Amino acid sequence: MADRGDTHYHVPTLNNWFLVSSLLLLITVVWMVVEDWNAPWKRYQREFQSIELERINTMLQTEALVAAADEEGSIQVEVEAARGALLARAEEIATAEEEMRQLKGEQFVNTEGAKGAKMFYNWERFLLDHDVSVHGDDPAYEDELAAAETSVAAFELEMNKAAGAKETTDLEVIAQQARLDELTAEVDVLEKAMKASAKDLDIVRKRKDDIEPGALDKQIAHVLRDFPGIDFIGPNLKIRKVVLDNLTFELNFTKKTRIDMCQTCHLASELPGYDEPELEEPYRSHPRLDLYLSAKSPHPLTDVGCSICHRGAGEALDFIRADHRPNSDGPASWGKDRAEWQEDHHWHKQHHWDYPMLAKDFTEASCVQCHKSSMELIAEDAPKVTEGYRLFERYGCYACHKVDWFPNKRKPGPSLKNVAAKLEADFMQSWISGPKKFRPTTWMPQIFHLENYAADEVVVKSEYGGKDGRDIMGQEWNDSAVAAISAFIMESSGEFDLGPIPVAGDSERGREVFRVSGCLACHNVAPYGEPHPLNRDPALERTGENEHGPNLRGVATKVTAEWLYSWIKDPQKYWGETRMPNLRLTDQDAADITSYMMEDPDGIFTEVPEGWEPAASPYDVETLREQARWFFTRVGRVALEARFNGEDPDFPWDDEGALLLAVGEKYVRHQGCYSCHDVSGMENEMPIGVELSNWGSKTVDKLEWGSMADVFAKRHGWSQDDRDEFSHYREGWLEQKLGEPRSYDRDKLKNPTEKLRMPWFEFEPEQIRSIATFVIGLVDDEVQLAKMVPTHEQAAMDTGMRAVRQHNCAACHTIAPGTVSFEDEEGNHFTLPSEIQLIGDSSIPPIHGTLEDLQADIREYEEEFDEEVEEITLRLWDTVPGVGAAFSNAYSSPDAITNVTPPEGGDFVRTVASYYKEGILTLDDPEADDPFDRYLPWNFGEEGEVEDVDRELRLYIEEPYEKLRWTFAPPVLVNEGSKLQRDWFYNFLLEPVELRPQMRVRMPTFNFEPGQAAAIADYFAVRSAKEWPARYARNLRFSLGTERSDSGPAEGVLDWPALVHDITGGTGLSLAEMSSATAISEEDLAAIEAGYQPVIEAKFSDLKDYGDAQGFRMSGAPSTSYERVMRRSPSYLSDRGDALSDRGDALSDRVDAPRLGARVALEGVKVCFECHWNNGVRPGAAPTEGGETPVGLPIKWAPDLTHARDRLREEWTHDWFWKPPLTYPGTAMPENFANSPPQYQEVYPGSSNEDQIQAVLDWLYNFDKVPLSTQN
Amino acid sequence: MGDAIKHFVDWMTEPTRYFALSIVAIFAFLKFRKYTTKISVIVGFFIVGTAFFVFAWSDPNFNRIITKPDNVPIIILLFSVVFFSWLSLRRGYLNDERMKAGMPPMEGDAGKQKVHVWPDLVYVELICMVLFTAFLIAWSIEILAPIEQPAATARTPNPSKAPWYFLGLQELLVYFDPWIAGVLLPSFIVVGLMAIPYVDRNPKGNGYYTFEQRAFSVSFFWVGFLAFWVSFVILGTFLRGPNWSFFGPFEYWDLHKLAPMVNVDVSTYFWVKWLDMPRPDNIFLRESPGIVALGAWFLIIPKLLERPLMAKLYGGDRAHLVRYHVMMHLLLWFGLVPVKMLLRWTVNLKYIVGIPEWFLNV
Repeated sequence: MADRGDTHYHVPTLNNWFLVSSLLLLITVVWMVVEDWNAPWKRYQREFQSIELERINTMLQTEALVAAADEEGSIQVEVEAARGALLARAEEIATAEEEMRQLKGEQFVNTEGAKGAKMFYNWERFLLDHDVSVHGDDPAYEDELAAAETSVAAFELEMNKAAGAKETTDLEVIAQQARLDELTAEVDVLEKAMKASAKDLDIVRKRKDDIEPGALDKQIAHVLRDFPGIDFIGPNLKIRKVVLDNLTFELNFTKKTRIDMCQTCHLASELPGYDEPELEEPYRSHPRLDLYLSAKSPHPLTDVGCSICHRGAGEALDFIRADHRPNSDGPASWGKDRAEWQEDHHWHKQHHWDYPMLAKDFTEASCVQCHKSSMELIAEDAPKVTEGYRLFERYGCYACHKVDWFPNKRKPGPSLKNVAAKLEADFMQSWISGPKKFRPTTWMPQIFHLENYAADEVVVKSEYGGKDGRDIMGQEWNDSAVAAISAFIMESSGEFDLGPIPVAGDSERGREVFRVSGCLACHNVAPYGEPHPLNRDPALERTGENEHGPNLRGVATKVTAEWLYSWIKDPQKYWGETRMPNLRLTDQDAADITSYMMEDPDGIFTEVPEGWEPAASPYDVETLREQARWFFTRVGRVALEARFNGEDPDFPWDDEGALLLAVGEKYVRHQGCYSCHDVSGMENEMPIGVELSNWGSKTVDKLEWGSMADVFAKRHGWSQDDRDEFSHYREGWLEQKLGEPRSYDRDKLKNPTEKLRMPWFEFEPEQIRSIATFVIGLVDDEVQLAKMVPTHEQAAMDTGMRAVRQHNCAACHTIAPGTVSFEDEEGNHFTLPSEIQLIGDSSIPPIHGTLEDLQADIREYEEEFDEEVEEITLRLWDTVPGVGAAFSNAYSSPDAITNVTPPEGGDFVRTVASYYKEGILTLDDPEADDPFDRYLPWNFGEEGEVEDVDRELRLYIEEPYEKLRWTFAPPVLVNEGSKLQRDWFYNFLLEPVELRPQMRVRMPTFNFEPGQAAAIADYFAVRSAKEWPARYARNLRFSLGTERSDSGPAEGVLDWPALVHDITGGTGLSLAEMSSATAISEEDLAAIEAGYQPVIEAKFSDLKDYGDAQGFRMSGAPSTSYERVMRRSPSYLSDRGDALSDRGDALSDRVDAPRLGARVALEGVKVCFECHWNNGVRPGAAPTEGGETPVGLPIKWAPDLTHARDRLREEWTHDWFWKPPLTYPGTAMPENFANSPPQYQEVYPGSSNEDQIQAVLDWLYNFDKVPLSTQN
Repeated sequence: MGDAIKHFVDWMTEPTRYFALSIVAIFAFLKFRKYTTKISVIVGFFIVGTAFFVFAWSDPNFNRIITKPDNVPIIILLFSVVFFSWLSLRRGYLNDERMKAGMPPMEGDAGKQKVHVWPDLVYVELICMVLFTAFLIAWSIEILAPIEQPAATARTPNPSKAPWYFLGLQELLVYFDPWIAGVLLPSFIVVGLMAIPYVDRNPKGNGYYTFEQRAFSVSFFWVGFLAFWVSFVILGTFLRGPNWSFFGPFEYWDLHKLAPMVNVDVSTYFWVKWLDMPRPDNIFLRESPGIVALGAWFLIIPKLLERPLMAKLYGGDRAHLVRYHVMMHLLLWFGLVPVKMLLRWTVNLKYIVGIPEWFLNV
């Protein structure tokens, strides 16, 4: 625009400005387009495409796909040939096609015609209907309506005609099409086959074509779709997201749908197989796809997304904005990730996001939000957070820090309501001052003498607020507080009548009673210093399970004999909530244990750590007064001074005792002693700690770092940014708090009542991380989705598992077998449910530890015996196809073993078994050459004889170790749920009955909380039912591969594996054979055998059908509801009697079924009561045919048969008679009904093994109906 | 040396000093406009300012505040407001000089009222729009929006800051109850701005810059807009940290910083401190000192000033009495703000009239 000359501004100048500004706009727009095109996530997607392409190309080279391509090619040739052949008939086809074209034209015309006719008819109908409704009653319209009706009829005729014409042409078209198809049939079939053969190939090809198109038009489209500036229309690279309607954010009283876009970059997260070590994030598969993200897993991506577990900003598409959080090595140092990220991504903390992504180390925290009521169930998959959860419980964190859902409400420390009867004041004061000085392993924390009351620091000036008073030092402050607390607790303690010990104790006998009664299952007596280098006594080891109760070292210096007796005899008398069970000891046993512990001939119970001395804590009146001034500020200064001077008759605090009590009560409240211990009069106090129910949702600005961030910054030379980042590091705050709880008071002036109170637990760094993980997982309930709540069954399992853990069932009972992994010479990898049975010599107890423990034991053995261990025996606990049946052995060289996991529980078994084998070992001659000569059993008699607690000579030193274990030690509870009837189990837990009188170890009476006994019974039942399909699948595969025995089973019934002992391999069908027989894929079969629930749900019934068809018999999964014993019902018995009588093969006259069974057992088998107790009658004592049999040794004794009918499940007993070792590995029960041809024909003529078993079962479950007198 | 400067700046930016100093600085700047409007002054300001930023950049606390994406507009504001204020004063000063010399102002003949819409208005606006669009695009590419996580009523950020343009109002919340700071005073601002054409009937300065012809108006604008609005925005942006505590620009935003402060009402001063007796139970009696003070402020001052000001502004014409009182009340409300602030800072005054029973606190 030219300059007009009358404008205020000079127009050409404006033009220039306009030019410049337009150019600038153009540049920025281009810049914007390029930026968008080059967004970081698009770069990741491009990179991932190239990774995928490489994979596809490799995949196309695999055997299967090459073969498919070949097949496709060969069919292609055939197709070409067939097409060639068609050429000869080209004319015919052309004619037919032309005819078809004509016909289709005709069809079109007729179809349209029919439609039109129908339409006109409908219209006329409508008009008629309308007229009738308006004028129907009017005679004037009668004629008109009649005419209209006629017209409608004409239209109808027309319509029908047209429809008929259409149908005719339709049929003609179909016929013509058939003719045409016939002409080209050969080619069509071939093409179909070609497609089918290349089905898998096509999927891969199609994906390849998506990434790298072949055809030119597709190539152009491919480029255009992602072209800068137009890539918003239909791009290949696009944001991927999952929308989670049920998992919401709180947003101003409403809920905002959670949207996770993480997959935009983490493209492979859901895809299996992207896990080579060289692949880096974001191109890796998510770990454990069986558990996370995949559709079959319990956490499918579409239901849970990403950020509900990982936190962070799910909608962010940028590394920093997603708020990735690097792993750190603890509060004091940055991890390796952070430095790398800073380098690669310019990583820095995202300031405006309150809940950053959890560092990898802490991700397990998120499990808590959904698994509150199933924490036990996830222990295997989330070990760290469940460890934290358990530590939280064990150390009693919940007592001071409320967590609303936490299942445990019981106070973790012993009751102090009657403590005066138990402890001396001196002991208590030293104990409060430093519990670990007396018992280094105690979980009572250190409360006094910590850094914010350091010994040599001034806590206060003695005059309240004044400046001229005496300095009161931390040492005086702590000592006076301890004295005050002790005074108050002793004063508040009630009268507790201990009574005298009714019988005199014998400490020698007590030593053995102590050893075999079960004390050592929960308590250990391990020395606190270095373990004795030559001590082989398992009782002196710490196993974890025997750390359930306190270590008993030094306990005789702590309590009186009367208290100890009373406690052992009935722990609940002293403390109603104790977990210490009642062992139902006789007075004599309890008195003997008491004598043994108090007299302490072995120097165990009087040994205290160096430096421990029970002594009164010195207090100082001035300090006490100062403490009173801080605690009683509300009373007022003047009134307080009056109390000190004895001027207030209600508070005569000039008396030191009264002052101590007053301050002591305040201190007990202030320190929250009552949170962990019952203290009289403080039953309803609130705990002193901060509620942690949603600590994980707390924002970091609510955390008081004190000077610690600066301390760390200085120590590590951090920049201000680093320091600031650190002080926003919630996990670090928690770790520091747990590690040094009082450190946040450092460099702070605080008055004594404001100082931090959390005690010091001396956690290990690993424990700190576990607890921190758990606490971070305590968040506001964002998980609204109902189906994320555990099922009823899971909840039952969880409660049961918790009860099992709380009552330490696993100390005595093995609940699940350990595993041993090894590689055979061909490089096959096995993981066997087994235990390591023997190293060279049977006298060494089985290993109950990890691979390192095993290696240490091997080294020790080799050193001691100067002999190389070449082979290790693995005793299978379950059938493993390809290896062996349950209870058979496998062998491996020690070097081939790659991993050992300990069994779940049963440590105490070693102590018991070693007692029965060797007595109580004491060091006799440390210099002896033969290691065995170094020790002597305490109760060693003649050569090979040991006198046991009952003054009986035992001859067990030659017995194999495992035999002793199965006879005298608490039973193994693997698969116990399928064995026991639940109501019997429940009753037994509440009120144990004597099953194996030879055992000295008692099943104690536990102090169960309401519901716990039922929960334990439920847990075992549910667990066995869950494990059953996998067990069935393994046994089936194993059986099918075993040669069928000609014996026993009736026609068409497949026995369980005939081979039982010493199978080392090569048995069982391979997975491939099994797969081809059952049409279930190998992966699915393996998954079923591994117990993977989703596959079991989907496929197990097919496998079961197959097993049934093969005649494989293994009783079904135990019912998880209370069961009836069918064999006891009158109708069953009469039916059985009828059936037997109808068969006519039972006996000459009609007898009832149980009696037949009794005769099979007692006249045929004969030996039942040689081993089994009979209603309290000792084995062998009961008369059997042929008179008395010699009384067997206790090592042969078996459970009382009277209980079988109430105790055992019928299905289990049935399996049991078939194959005892398979059903209960380790049993001594012989196989009575496995002979070919079947035995006992003289008692039950013409019977098969199965018939005999049925008869015996009838007897066993109606034991009471067949009195013993009539049994012979 | 660096630390000394930082400490000095932190010390200087303490609100009392900061506020008092900015008022003094404004008046000095206007007073000595002969020198302050020299180009070397603004160039010097920018050089010193830039040097200061370069120096301060390395300080982590300063850097963190300055580089926050939300604060970028304030940085721009910092420089642009100074520049344009200076520019207007310079042009006003030059015009004043020209007019004293009998020349027309630079904008042309003061009597000329019209220019062309095209190109003088619309073309220039178009260019500005294009430039701004380009600028905003570049800005949005380089500095990502500081988006936070979804807001939740139960978890408010700390400090909770208003949008930057409202920070001035938010600052008033420190000194006044919400109904005054958030309702009354903003209403007066709006009403006052609308009332300008009716109250101010002086035609001088239309279409050209001047200072001398409109000394009061311009000074009032400088104080009101620069000292009370812009500088409060700056204060709120840079110097208010967690818990709305005050932090110097080089100070670490310590979440736990405490400000020792016990604020007391006028009634407490009067009854308890001066008369050494408990405050009366009767609310009116109790608050009578404050009520009297406010009454004096709003009723007596206008009356006292009525004669001289009416004479000066309206030639003593009583027809303009409503105009005078409207203006006076607006000014007094405005004046109450610094008065209350000063009282808070100097004698820890909480309320002049404090009747929490009725939620009526001034």
